[in-house]
Amino acid sequence: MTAPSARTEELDLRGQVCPAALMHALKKMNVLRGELSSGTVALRILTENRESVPTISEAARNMGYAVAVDREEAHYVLLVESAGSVDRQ
Amino acid sequence: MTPLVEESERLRRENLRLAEERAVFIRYIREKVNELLVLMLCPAMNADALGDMELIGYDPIGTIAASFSRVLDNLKETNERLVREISERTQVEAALTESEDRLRDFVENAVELILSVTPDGRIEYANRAVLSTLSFAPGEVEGRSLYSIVTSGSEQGCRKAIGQMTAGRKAGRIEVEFRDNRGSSVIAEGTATGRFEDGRCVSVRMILQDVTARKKFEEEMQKAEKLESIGVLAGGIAHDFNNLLTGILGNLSIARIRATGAADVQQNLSKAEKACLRARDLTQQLLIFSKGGAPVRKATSIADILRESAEFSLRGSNVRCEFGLPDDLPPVDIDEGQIAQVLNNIIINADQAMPDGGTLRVEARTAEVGQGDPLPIRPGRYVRVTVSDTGIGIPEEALPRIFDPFYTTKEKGSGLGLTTAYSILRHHDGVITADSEPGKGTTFFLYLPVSKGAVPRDAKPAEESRKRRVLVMDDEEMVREVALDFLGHLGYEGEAVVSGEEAVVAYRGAREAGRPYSAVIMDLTIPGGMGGKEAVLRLRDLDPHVRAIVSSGYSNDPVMAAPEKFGFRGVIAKPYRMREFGEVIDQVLSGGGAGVRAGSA
Repeated sequence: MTAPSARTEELDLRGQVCPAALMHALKKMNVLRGELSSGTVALRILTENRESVPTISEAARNMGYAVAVDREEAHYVLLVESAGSVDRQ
Repeated sequence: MTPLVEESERLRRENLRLAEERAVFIRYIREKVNELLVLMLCPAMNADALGDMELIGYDPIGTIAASFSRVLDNLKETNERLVREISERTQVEAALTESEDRLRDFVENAVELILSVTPDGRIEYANRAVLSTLSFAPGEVEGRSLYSIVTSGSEQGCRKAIGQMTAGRKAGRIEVEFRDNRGSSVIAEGTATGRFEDGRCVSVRMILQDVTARKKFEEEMQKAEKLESIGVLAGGIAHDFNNLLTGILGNLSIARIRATGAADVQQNLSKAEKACLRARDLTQQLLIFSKGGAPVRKATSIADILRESAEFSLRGSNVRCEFGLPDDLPPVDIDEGQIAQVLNNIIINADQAMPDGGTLRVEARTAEVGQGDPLPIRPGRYVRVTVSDTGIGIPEEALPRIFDPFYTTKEKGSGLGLTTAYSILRHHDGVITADSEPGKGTTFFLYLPVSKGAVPRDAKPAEESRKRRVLVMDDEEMVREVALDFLGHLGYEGEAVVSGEEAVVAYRGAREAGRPYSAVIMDLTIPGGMGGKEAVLRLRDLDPHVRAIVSSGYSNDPVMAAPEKFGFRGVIAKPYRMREFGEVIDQVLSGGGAGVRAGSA
């Protein structure tokens, strides 16, 4: 169960491959660090690169965020948000 | 080479060197970045995927360092959360352990027998009470079939109860008779409840109480109640019987006197008299059994009673009897009938303990009981009677119980024989004890206080008492006739009346006529009329010096045990023989104080 975060920012990484995509994602997560942790912002990452999906998800989880992955028609959507807004398993 | 060319060449070399140097740095940065990425559990970068310039442009070290600090923060948070969770879990576990300990303590140390069995009767769990009550060691019961530790009579009931649970019944009462590890029966009752999983009974829990003692007590109470009602009946029969015996015995005594000279008739009459006396003792036993009657004691030589009892009880037996009875044995104050009953009981027991024959030794000697003696009797001189057999003996564990009421090892025993013996000895201010060695034999010790009086000799009516007048009051014609016959033979002038009222009238009339009675013998109870107890008070009003003698078949009546308290000077218990009858009248008339006794009691 995910409580909706107040605001969602989007990072479109379509056209980029790993590890550039990871670098971009890490940079963005670092910028939004405070808001992501407190749960005021959720980060929506779009990527077409299949390899980037587990890489970015893994990095985000290591940083303590919750990650949900959805597959759209031509790309993937990774929703990164505060783990506090997700029930601990 | 011109300086310009030289300079250009230098710059080119310098440029090459710097490019190489840069490549080294970038390779270094790429390696370190990769190491960091791996540390962050991310895949390493390769040069194809990210060009050198782009690599630098992304500021990878800065980015990764910032990410790292976030990872570290996350790890710290996670750590703290884990520590918190662990401490919470530890607390929960401690609480659970405590709760489990408490429950286990309840079940393990419960007085109730708690056990759980599978639907097929296998014991899954049994608490400490089960083990101790049934004398099993820890671990000896779990895994066994319940049916292997219950009696065959109880097995069906247990199977039925467990069957009902497995058929869906939630709870029910259950009675189980266990066979403990030593083979004894333990009766327990309580509840059985089923434990269900998915609607299926997986085990049956039983919580039972050991009710063996209560059941035994109830059985004994029932037995005692039955015996008491028999006792009331026996007492009634004994009373009527005593009256009949008085008639028979009296007529026999008179017949013996009339048949003087005919030796063979005398022999028959003597045998008939002995049989009557035996019947008198039997009614006496019935009376003791019915009311635990107080003994009517007189100084007696125990030796004759010992010989008679042994001969009587061992008739037709293959047991040999030896006596050790010194001639100078002092007399004892006893109720002959009661002590004979004790001896008969012990000797019959001894005979039964020697089915293949053996030797019974009966001894008596004087014994001093001192202050520090463990026997529960007053210090003083006693005659100690020893009755020893060479029989099977009494098991050690049974010995302390042999005097208990209803304790018996015989299939048809009442368990009252030795209890009565004990009670009789205590009423005689004596005691009975036993010693036994299984396989060797048993010895009973009887302590009876030495009498201060002398054994009375056969009655020889004193000359001076002859032709004195004696009034007899009894509602039984047969008794009146015998008493008058006796009085005639003893040289008295007898008259008879049928009630207390008539006795008072006759006594007054005789006094007024100047022919007073020297003594009055009165029956204690007269159905529908004034008995001796009330009549003696009326007579004392007329004559404070009246010599009244009470006579009754109710030897256990308080008047018979202490006649002086009620105004009588003597006692004649029915049935009586002429000798005893005459003795009492003689002694009362010769001024013998209260408490002169004769007869069966």
